[in-house]
Amino acid sequence: MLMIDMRNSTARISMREIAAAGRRYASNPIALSSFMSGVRLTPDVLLEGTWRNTAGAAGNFAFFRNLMLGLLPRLYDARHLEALGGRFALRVTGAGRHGDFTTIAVNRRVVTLTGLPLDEASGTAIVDVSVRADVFLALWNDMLAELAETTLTQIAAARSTPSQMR
Amino acid sequence: MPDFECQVTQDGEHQAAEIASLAQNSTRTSALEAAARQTLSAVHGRQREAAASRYKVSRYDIPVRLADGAALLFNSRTRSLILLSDGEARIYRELAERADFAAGQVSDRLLLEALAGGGHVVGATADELAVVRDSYEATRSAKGSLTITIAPTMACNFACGYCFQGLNKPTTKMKPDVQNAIVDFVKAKKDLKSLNIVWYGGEPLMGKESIFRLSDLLISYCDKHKISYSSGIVSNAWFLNGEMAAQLYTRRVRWVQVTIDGDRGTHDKMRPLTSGHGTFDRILDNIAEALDQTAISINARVNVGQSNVDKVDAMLDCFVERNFAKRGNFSVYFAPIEASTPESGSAFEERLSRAEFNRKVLALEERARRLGFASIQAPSSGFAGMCVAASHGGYVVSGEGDVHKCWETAHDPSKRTGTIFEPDKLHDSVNASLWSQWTPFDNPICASCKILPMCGGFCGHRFVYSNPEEAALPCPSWKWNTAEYIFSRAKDLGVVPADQWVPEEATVEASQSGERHSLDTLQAAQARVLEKVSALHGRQIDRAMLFAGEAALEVAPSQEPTAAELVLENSAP
Repeated sequence: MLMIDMRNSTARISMREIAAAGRRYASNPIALSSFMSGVRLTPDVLLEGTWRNTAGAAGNFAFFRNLMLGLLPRLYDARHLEALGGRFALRVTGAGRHGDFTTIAVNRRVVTLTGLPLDEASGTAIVDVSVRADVFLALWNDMLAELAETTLTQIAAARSTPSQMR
Repeated sequence: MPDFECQVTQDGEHQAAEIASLAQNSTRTSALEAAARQTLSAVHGRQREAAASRYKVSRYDIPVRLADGAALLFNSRTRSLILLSDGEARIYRELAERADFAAGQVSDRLLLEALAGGGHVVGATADELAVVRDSYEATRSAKGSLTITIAPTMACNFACGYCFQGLNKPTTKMKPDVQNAIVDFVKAKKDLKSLNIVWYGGEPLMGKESIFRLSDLLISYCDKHKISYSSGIVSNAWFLNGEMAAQLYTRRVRWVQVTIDGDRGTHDKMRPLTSGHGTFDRILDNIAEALDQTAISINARVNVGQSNVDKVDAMLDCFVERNFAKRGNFSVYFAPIEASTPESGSAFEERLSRAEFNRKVLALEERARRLGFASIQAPSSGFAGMCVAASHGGYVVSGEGDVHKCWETAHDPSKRTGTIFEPDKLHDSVNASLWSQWTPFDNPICASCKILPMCGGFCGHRFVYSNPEEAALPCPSWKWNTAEYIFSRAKDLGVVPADQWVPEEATVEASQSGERHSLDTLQAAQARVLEKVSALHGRQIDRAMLFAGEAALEVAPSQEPTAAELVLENSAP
């Protein structure tokens, strides 16, 4: 399913569900899971405007581009990426020509570039994982929802000690 | 498999630090709380619907099959458009064949959630028609906004053979007392939030003094009272040189609708001056000046009929030669020449059938888009038919101060709903009731139409004043080119290649938008309006009285023969 004109899907799916579905949602769920486990989410991520970008074709898939190129490098653990080999090539299928991303570790920093690396011998594009755009969006929905729930719990805990609030 | 979920749930040490941080900064805490709640409201809850929850496919879904087995799926209520793979399209078709289905019957849960998110499937007990009706009525009677179409004069320096106002137009101009009454009318509106003015005629620029004076008075009042003001003008552009455009633009006229009917030869034949001379070159010179000297938007309306349909390409070439696309703020759209009133002159011979017009217009629209004169095909954001006639907050005021509900009756005083000098009585006349009692939900064709949520009946005039001799159908191009427009949008957004079009999906064959109106259905709709208006006013009102207008409709009840008198009259030898 590809969104053309649609507010972002409200669907959510966990990494475990993706893995349990075999290759239905992602070409290599294990590799996707390895990659996604390098994402470090803190409550402040909820304040990001990226989540309000449209994920549909009519909005040029701004959600995926802003997420992968702008936000993900700030959220990603460079050491984790180095442990994965320093590079991860992700294809988000159904996001038109905007769906290929390569995340690399450079000088202990993380950068995402558009496009995919090429295999020097064969000249073909390397894809570590390809994942359906609607699935990738639903996965982020799930991560954010979980983060939001955790954050609300923490806020409630903080407010239970009102004398410390300024 | 890596333990993915631990990245979101922090360990105890981090949690304690975060809680301490939150406790120390209440501003940040409030912002995070709001963001967290917004996030949770924007995604599906963790407790998903039970597998037993029942759904049905939306009555406003319009699927368009593609050559590779995939399908585009458009919903006219939510305007959601998605591309289903061949497997998903198969699942969708199976769902569509059932009256309803349980969530557990759809193996791809994400697909079901996406379909529900886009309104493509709804709860099994949902009454979508009622939802659309409520939305229509709420829009129709929205308080706070006022749209007035003002004709400073009905005079015109053009003599277009197909004009629905006829060629015998009055030459009088709006007098200051009418202008003052319009200003008083606006001032009397309580809680006004936005005022939208459309300058109309005849040729409104033949009464430019009224436009300037009224604009100054209305803008000053609106600015003082924080009322949003906007305006546009429908003009033949004969007087619209750079200076005139600047004078209009400073008075917040932001758009001009100009009619151009083909290349020079065709246009000059169809839209000559009353003296018979051509108008094409001067109009195009004026447009170029206006575009160069102001930020005003010019929207060229091209009326397409028998004699110019093959000349429209040449007209587009003229626009290219003059660099209109590069000058910016210039667009083109196509409309059928139709006989909508008895005064419509050559329109009776000029008109193409709706099916023929819409077949031809597809290619013209495609070329206009390619040349930069039109944007990617898009459905309307609200009800396209929510014009001044349909909206309870819409009025048309003629130069004499007559108030109408529709542009197409403004030239005919017998169709007025009242006068601007008696604003309290504007809704009391039978003519006014004809409009207030009309609704697309009263006729089965509109009520069952797949594009009703976008269209809203489109043109009340075609129902209320339906006349077999005029044979003007109300439906917009989306009704006739539904699948083509959906495909065109997806293609131009780069989602599907052109070769995926399936010819059998042509709307004229497949009727994706539902049954079409005919003269019979329009007559039935008109009869329903007359029935409601008769009941409302407590006397029988028929078609002959409708077309005779005010003199026949507004007869005082005491002057009408009573039922008993009619019986006596009929039984008389």
